[in-house]
Amino acid sequence: MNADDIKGMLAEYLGDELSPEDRRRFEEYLDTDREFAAEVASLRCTLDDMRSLKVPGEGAFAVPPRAAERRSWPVPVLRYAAVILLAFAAGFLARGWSGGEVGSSGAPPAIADFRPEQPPAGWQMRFATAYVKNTSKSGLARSLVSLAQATR
Amino acid sequence: MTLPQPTDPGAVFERHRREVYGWAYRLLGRHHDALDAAQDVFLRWLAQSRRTLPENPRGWLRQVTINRAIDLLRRRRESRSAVDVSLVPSTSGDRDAAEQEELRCDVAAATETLTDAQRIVLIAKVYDGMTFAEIAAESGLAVPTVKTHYLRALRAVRDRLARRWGPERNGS
Repeated sequence: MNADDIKGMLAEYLGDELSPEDRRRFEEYLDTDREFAAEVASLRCTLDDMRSLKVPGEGAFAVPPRAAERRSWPVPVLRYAAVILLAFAAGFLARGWSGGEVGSSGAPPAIADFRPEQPPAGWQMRFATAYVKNTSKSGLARSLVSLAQATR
Repeated sequence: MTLPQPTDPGAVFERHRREVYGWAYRLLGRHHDALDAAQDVFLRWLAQSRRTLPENPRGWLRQVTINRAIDLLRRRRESRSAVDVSLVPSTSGDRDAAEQEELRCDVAAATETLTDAQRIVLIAKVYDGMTFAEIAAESGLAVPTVKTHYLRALRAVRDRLARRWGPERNGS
């Protein structure tokens, strides 16, 4: 096996595909050809550099905490919605019992304050519409603001 | 070595998602960019599988992933910002994150200058540990051609690294 044959095994050597016997011959030749040995060393170092680049492991595929929180949004949001609906229901009951809007003092409003052009279901419907359009938590917050403005 | 290739998109995703992510991450160096690239790749796979199923899904995925990553690299070259190093595991003796990122950028830049065939061969050999014969079978190239691509690609990366890091880093 001459020098050219040995040098022809460079790809297999760097690719770890030489048989033990050929590998021994190859490395023996490196001791006799310093220029070629330097070439081999530089390519080996490049391979080491490339292989040193790390890739995140299994953790990279885990759902981040905030995303996990987002994914479970229906439960708390539904809980909030249930509380709000209960509050609405209580409001309706209070209205029914009192015959009008309940003032801040708890006393029934005067007949003159009653506004039939704004039926009680209006703001509830607006809230429901806004809520359906915005199912995220921030959307729910916006809906609550709209609700507060509508009922002011 | 080669297992029967699944054709169901879900099975293909489960089998290859880590590899696709890994190929993309090694070139892009950012967790979310790699996830974006992986998502694009699997969407393309889905579209492709509705027409003609590639004979070799893994080879197809590797090629599309590398091309997609190169596209993303070109787009962000002028607006390069800090890498997402929080997900790179650090142990004593590792390069620090900044050096890793510089190295990754240089390797990616060198990879970008290679021909498609050289790029595929290099990634398959270095990161997937495939043999020359396996790469030849997957790519349809002759084994000697694969070896030639491998050496040329490796030398191109070495020369690129030597320009920044100096020849002493490369053992010469």
